[in-house]
Amino acid sequence: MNRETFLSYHNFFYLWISLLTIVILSVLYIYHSPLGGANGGTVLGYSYGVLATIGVLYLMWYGIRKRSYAKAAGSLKGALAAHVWIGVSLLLIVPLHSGFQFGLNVHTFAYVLMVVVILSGIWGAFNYITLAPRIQAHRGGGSQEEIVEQILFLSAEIERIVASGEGDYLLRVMHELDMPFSVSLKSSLARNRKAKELDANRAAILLSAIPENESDRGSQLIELISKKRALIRQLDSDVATLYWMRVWLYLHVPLSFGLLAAVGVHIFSVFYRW
Amino acid sequence: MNLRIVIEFIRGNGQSETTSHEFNKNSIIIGRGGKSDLSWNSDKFSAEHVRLSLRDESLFVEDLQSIGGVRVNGHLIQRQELRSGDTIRFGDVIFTVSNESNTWELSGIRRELLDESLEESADKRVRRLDIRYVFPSIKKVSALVVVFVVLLFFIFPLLDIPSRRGAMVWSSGQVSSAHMMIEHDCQACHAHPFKPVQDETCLACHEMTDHAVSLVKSQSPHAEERCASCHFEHNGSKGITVTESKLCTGCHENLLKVISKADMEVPELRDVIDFRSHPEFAVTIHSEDGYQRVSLDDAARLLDPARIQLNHAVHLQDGLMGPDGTVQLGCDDCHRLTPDTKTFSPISYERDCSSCHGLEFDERLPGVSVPHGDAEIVYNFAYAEYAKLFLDIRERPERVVPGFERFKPGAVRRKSVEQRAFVHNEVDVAARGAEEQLFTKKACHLCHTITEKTSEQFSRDGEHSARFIVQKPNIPDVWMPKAHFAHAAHQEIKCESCHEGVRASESTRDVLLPGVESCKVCHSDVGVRGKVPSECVLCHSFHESKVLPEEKRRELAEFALFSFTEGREDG
Repeated sequence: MNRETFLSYHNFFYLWISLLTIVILSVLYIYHSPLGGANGGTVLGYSYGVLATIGVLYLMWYGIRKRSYAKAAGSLKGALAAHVWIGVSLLLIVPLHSGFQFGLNVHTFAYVLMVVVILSGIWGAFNYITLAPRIQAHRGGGSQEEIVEQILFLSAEIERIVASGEGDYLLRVMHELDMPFSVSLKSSLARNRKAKELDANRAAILLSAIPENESDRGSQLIELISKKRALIRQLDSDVATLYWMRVWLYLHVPLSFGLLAAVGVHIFSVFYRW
Repeated sequence: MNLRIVIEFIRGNGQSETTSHEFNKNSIIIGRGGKSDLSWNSDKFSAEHVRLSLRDESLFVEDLQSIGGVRVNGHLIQRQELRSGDTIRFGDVIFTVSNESNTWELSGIRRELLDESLEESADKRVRRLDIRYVFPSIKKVSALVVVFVVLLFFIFPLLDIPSRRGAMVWSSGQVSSAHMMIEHDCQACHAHPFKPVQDETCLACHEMTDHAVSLVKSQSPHAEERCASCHFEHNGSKGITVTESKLCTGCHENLLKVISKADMEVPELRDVIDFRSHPEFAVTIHSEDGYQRVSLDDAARLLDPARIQLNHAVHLQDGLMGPDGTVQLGCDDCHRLTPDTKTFSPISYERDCSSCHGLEFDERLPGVSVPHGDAEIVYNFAYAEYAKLFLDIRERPERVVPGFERFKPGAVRRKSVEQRAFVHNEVDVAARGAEEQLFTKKACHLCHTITEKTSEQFSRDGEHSARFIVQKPNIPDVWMPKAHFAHAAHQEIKCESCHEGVRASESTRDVLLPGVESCKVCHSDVGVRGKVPSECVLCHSFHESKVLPEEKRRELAEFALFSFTEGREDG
């Protein structure tokens, strides 16, 4: 892959920096044996805590940077690479800070929030890497608005043809072969890209039952229905892709603010009851 | 005649639901609203769209001038009789007619109308597919999460809601078991916000000796240390005291770095880095002018100061003569552990020596031993016994007392005054004789250091005082006061294995204590494999606790109040 992603930015520069940091901090941790065992209140404990807090604040800053039009040093992609790799390294830095002590309290709760934030971020990054190519793949036909309009238009056409026909034959065809459609995220996801193509055999059987005078309209109907299904399938794929590329943010961002609050409480309470 | 209308309603997402309506009337109207008996809210219906009527046993359908029209079997009709199998279509519904046992049934399908017309703006429509418009905004969710966290984890604990449990979320770990009943009362120890735990909160309940006096005078950074520097709470079952040796060796590895020799309690104290290089033990030897610390490898000064004679070699030999034949003495016969197994009881004459070393002093007084006590007591006891002896003479004529002859009848008796003086003198002589025997030739003399009083001393003490002085033996009972050794824990080892040379020791001056090398056979620093891990505190103590004074003690009921299950007025 020649293309530089937000992970591999600058030959994985930020990955190496994070790895190096982790290694150095771990080695220091192993050789430091403070009185009473490792905990957040030793020299290393305080230092790592400060580092982790700075890390969290830097990571939160990405959200601001992303929306800012101000000229900033470095590209956004580089900033994202730093965000991702520093974020992952925090998974280990915080337990090193606490001496791997955990309990049912706000201090561990802050870490739990952080873990969920980081894992959701990893999930999001994974989704981005795997799903982004798919977006480009589907949009060959047009934007989502165009596809939806086309589907709705086809639905109306189908209804018109059926309404104009004599007898129920067309009605039956429509009932059996058409797929009901409404513009809703929920139903799109529920269909889960499973809008299958027309069953050709069934279509043939139904067509053969139609009387001569209606058979033109019958084949037209089938063609319309077939096209509609294909468009629905395309739309569903697009909708789902965009959904999975965004849904993780609903965990990642709110919980990161929760994390910020929890870290604030952690620092306050540790010194309030020193 | 009954009419039943069954509708299957198919939604846009493919799900369907079936409803059934029963009518007993002869005619019903179906439409969008108005006077309709059955209505559906859909643009495709006119207000009153169609009438279904029953006449005799026939079912008729009639178009009520609707806009969309009514089709039967595909043909637009105005009014028509229906037969079983017909299909009716109007609005957005298609019915199939059937007749069964006097009930006309119309079963039909409706499909959910798309509520979007093509006039609705396309980009607004497509938002319904976009998670960013369908879900609540991320900002709102974030605000909610922050409020939740701040409320539950900051406000509630700060205000102690729910009472006394709220603050527990701030606890950094379980407290030690001894402090469990005040676990929820953060302020019992963390009395001042933003300040570390101060000694005064510990001393509110506990009573401590000062730390080593030298420490207080030293320039060590530890001199200002708090209790909390060595006692770490919130470590659950790990306990509150830190026992790592480096706490001690921080100063003791180079004492002169932290304190000047002049300020040292024990100036000759040697530096210690770890147990492996622990210097040879030193014993504390008391003398009249104080005490000295003498190292066990300082042969010249290492002398037991006890003023007593004991020859271990003799006592431990085979074939030792006892009162009833030969005996074999062992260490246990004289050196006994106290009931708490911590130290040895001091050697007691009565318990350990008297069985062989009796204190009888006169064949004429068999079984009578002087008490093992002060020389004054010994002399006066002997005196009293002799007095009794002479007074008893009439009962025991076989005792011969010199100078007390029987007098022949008719002989002149001595004057009673003279008699008394005579007896007094005899008793005195006997007592003095016994005293001399005991103190200079046998018994006391065998073990004790005895000096004779000078004439000044004797005249000062009076003529009925003892002539000799027994030097206080001053047998040391604690050789190493700054270290604890649990003999009970070491019972598997033979005494002489560590206390080498006892069997050969002939002089009391020998100090027969084990040196550090015998400990190093089993003990070493923490982390050395195959050895008992031994921190400094295994043998040494930094400070002892004092008995808690009365004013610090509380009623039992107060402790119950501390616990969760009881309420407290102040919450």
